[in-house]
Amino acid sequence: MNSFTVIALAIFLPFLSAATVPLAQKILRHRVGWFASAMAFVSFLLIAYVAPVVIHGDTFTGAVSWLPSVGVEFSVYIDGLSLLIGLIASGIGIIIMSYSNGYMSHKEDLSRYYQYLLLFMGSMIGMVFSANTIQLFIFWELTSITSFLLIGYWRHRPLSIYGATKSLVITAAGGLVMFIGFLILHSITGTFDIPTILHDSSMIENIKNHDLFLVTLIFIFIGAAAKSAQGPFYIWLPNAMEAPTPVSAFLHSATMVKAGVFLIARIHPIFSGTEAWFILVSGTGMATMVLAGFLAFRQNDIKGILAFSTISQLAYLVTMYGYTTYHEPGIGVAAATFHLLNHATFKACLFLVAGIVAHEAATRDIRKLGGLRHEMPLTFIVASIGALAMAGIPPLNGFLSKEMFYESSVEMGAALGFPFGIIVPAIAVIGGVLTFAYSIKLIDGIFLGKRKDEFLPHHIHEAPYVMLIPAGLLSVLVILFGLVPSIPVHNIIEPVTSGILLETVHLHVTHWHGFTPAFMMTIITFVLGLLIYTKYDSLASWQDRLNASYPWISVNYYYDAIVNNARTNAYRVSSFVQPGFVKTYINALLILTIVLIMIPMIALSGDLIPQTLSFDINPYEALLMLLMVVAAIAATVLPKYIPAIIALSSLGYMVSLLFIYLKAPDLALTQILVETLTTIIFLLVIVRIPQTFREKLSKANLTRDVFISGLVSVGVFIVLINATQGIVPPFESLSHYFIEKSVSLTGGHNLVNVILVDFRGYDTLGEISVLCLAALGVYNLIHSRGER
Amino acid sequence: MNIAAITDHLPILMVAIPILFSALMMFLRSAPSVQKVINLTVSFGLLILSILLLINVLNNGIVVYEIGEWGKYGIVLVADLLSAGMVLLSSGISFLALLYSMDYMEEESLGSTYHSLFNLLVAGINGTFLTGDIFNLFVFFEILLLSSCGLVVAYGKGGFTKSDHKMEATFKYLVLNMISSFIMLVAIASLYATVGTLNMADMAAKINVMSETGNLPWHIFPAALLFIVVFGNKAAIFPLHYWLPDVHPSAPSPISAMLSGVLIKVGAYGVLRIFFLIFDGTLYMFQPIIIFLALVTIILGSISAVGQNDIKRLLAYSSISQIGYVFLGIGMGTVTTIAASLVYLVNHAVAKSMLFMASGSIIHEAGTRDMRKMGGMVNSAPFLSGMFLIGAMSVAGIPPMGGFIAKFVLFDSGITSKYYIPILIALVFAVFTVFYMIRAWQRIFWGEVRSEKYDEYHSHGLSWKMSVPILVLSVVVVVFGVYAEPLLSIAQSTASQIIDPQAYIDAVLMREIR
Repeated sequence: MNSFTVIALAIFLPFLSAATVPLAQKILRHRVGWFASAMAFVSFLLIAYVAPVVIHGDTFTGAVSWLPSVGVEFSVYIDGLSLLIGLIASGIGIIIMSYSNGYMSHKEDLSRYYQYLLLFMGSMIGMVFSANTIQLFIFWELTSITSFLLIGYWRHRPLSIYGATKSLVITAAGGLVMFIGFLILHSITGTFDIPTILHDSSMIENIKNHDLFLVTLIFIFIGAAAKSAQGPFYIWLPNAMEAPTPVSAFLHSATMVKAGVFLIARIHPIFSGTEAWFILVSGTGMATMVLAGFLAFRQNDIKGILAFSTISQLAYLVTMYGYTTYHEPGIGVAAATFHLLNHATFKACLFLVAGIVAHEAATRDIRKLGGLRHEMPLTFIVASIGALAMAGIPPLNGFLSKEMFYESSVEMGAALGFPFGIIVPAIAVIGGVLTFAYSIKLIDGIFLGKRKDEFLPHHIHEAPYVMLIPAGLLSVLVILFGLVPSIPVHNIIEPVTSGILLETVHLHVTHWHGFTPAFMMTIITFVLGLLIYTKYDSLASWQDRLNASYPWISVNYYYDAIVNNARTNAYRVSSFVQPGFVKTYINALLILTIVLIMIPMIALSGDLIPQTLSFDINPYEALLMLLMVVAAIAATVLPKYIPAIIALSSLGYMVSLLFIYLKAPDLALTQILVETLTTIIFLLVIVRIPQTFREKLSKANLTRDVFISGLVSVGVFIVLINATQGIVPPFESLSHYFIEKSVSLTGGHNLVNVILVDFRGYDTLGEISVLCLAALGVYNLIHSRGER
Repeated sequence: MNIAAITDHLPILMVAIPILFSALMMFLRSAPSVQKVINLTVSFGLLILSILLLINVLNNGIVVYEIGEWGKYGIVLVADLLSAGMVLLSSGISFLALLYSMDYMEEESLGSTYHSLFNLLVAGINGTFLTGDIFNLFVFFEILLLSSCGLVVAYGKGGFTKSDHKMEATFKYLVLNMISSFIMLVAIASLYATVGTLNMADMAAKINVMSETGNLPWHIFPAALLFIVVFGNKAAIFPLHYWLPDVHPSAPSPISAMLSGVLIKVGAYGVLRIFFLIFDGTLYMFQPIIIFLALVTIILGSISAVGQNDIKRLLAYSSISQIGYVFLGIGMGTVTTIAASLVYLVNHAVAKSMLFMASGSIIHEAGTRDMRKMGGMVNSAPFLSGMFLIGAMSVAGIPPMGGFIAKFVLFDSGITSKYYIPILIALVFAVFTVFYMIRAWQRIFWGEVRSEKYDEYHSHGLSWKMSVPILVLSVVVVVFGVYAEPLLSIAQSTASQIIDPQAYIDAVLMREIR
């Protein structure tokens, strides 16, 4: 099998298995989760199968034709980055789906749960291996949708619904903005294919010099930030914690939220090495890192702490990918990539622990928990490994990548010069200090201290192995990557970094570098971290007070104000523009008509009254016209129905007189017939309804109506009077043909009749249908009126 | 009659068959079940014929059918890719809507005039798409108008729409359309008086000659622009959209599906046909106006849709905003944007008719149109939940649904043509679309079960006649999303035919005339 087939299988296998989950459930019943994790395992193996290509420093591109009309293929790009995240997605997938066997109650709708998880996993794998922006976006949105469905898994709960909506609105809106960014990129480069752009330095140069460079970068970054909960878009992630805990571990810490970071890494070669990249990416990252780390203090729900910690940790990654200078575009890339892997391990582990605690102690409130170390010793050990890795304690993997973060911060600061040489490392340290503090809080709050018997069940058991082993496996990885960093670094981090920097990179990661600035920063972090931890609760209550007195400092305030009131406000707008009176609508139509006549009139400044216009007029004709005008005015101003109708019908009869004058006796005859009939019917109907004719018209309304109808009449008059100046030579009217051929072709001498039944008989058929329709419509009306 | 003969007469059959059967249906009122069978057979037959017609056009180029061998002096029917494609689209949706109505409509409404009116509606739609004569277009517009009025006042089971609402809506619809018909007559009369022909190809050739020699009379411009009022009114673009939020919700659901799926597309068809064929020389003036109106339509439609509690009214406003996107593509006026707007049109037609039918079933299930009274229906109606989500995702432009491909090609072609600001505005309101469609789905299917009212109509449940059309349409939505290549390539050939109408003109004019 070639690599393309293997990866295509790895992408579509989860989709196919999602379709077969209901069937599997029939056989396996509540053990259906093992089927799902087996499928994840197969996907993992398939991805691992192509790993040797990448470890040898190569990349692979493969494609099949998909939408050639718009230049989009189904294409796969295998490099270090896609391999890393693909392995994380499927690997954590195995762990999560196994763990869910213990976590999810057998009464839940398990087949839907595993279907969504598998769909998500397939989309995630599909996204990272996408070689073109369109395919990437499709899978990107699929991850948003599956995330939405999983957050709202308990779909009767208002909070689930709120969280699901929020996540979808923010990530899908960000996704659309990003999509426009992709399309602008397409208009600049003429291709959707990412490797083509990455490997063509002249194209990258072209993008960087393009007028729309900044717009493109900002648009794509907004999508990435929304997905990875960075900057003001962070607000959806805490609410996403309404999902079942394994889902939070999988989507909202280890994989889906990494999609934004993945995208930043993916487009790194295109956009980095510019000031805009550093300011936008690192700037957003640093602000988010500090704020989210600080806001974690306020959370009482352990999943809430983990959510804010995820935001803050993702911000580490974003900050590091943002470190760039002209000469060295990727200062923090290696550190970021290593931390990305490490974060996936220790954070997923912590989420699984949170699930275990909630499952056994029946609460996730850190104020009610405490002292569980005796009852759950194994969970305690696993949790401690995860939390200490997050805090950056040696020899765990978190320590290594945090050191690398500090090193790259120092390097970036040095490259920028004073005062940034101090500010950038200082911000990094603040981020580290906050992380240290809340990591300690997790352990202290749940496992240490005194057991709060009044809130907790009498007997709390150690977690069942089905839940403990997956979490334990992750903590083993945490230790392994910490003790033997060369395993991940050589096999995956180096290929990823080389792929992003577009040059071969050799990394050397050890615990001890000597008394470097990074080491000093670590010491400062531990000391300050412990100090801050003593003030943890007072800082948290200060935040509560601040938020209570100034609700507008929170981004959520604006989201809620906009979204919760959306319907009311939109309803106001719609009832303002759509008041319901047919008269308003007619006016709108007429005003548009006026505008459309006026635009060419002004733009082309043609003669309003044609020069060829003849002013010779026969006195009879003039009199007739005058009478018609009088009748028309009378019809509008007469106050009662019957006189108005009579005025109107007299207008009709005068039209027939006009026909006679224009030598069209049969038309005149028809007109008289029609006019007589309609007048009679009209009168018969009108006498049955009240004769008070008009609603009160204010003077302003009257003026407006007269003005509008006057303008329409004038406009239509001008167009028609120009049109009636005869057919533009050399063209001639159809009537010549009709006069010439009517007898020879049809045998008819009455030209009007010949036209009606022969030349344009089809129109007549149509008109007959219209008459039948009118009859049917009236029948329907009477029919329905009679009953209701 | 052998197959070849049928192929020769396809265009007129698409109109003649439904007219014939509409007359026949009036005599079969005493046998409702016979009516049903015949009408479904006819409708399915028309679907087959429309497929044949499209294949014929794809293989042999533009098909011109003279009614009475008088060439441009009489009336011709012309089926190019645009016409044949639209006929196929409408035949497909008509058949499914008709199948759906069999169990949706009240027996009494169904038995009296429904079948006749439905056939005439189909005749009107096909006639409009196929005619090559501008006055004939007017005639078929009248048929469209009156048959749709008659169908709006028909009743579905349960009667969730009050009779006076229907009357009010129909009244508005009629009045506004009458005025626009009058404007259409003014425009046609001015054109006829100036160039002396009603045949669209002939008119196009003559106006082209005048444009090229530079003596195009200026009043051709206002006459041309007046067609914006005419077609805009059919398509419900701003400021001619006011009738739609009243009419589409008051109609019975299968008819709403026809109105939103096919009828408002007639307006888009008209603009593409008339402006790009006949008024090539006025395009520079027409395009900015259309782009402006399209953007306002998008904005008003999507904001208003956010504010609705009535599910069908929400869908109706959404139709307004979506037709705005179609017109945006038309207004940008390049081959790729027009292809995009055709793709958009097709996808919206399919997804929205499905949503209207699904909403009809939802209304039957919940006993109300008010989403505030719905909730938690996912447990009682999982099928509808899935189908509605597919439709909602498609309208919202979320992959892997057809609506995504439509938004993709529209935005991509717009950006490539450097219409940055219009695309940005369109983008912002695409976010609104995501919000209101997904919210609507959530409000109906998630949350606590609110509606305890399971009356006799609930027991009807979802018969196969109601679920099959919904299922078929959602399969189409997904297929258009996953593999859109055939649609995209046909749309592109169609768009090139629209932009370069010489083939159309030649096909009509280069014929022997007696």
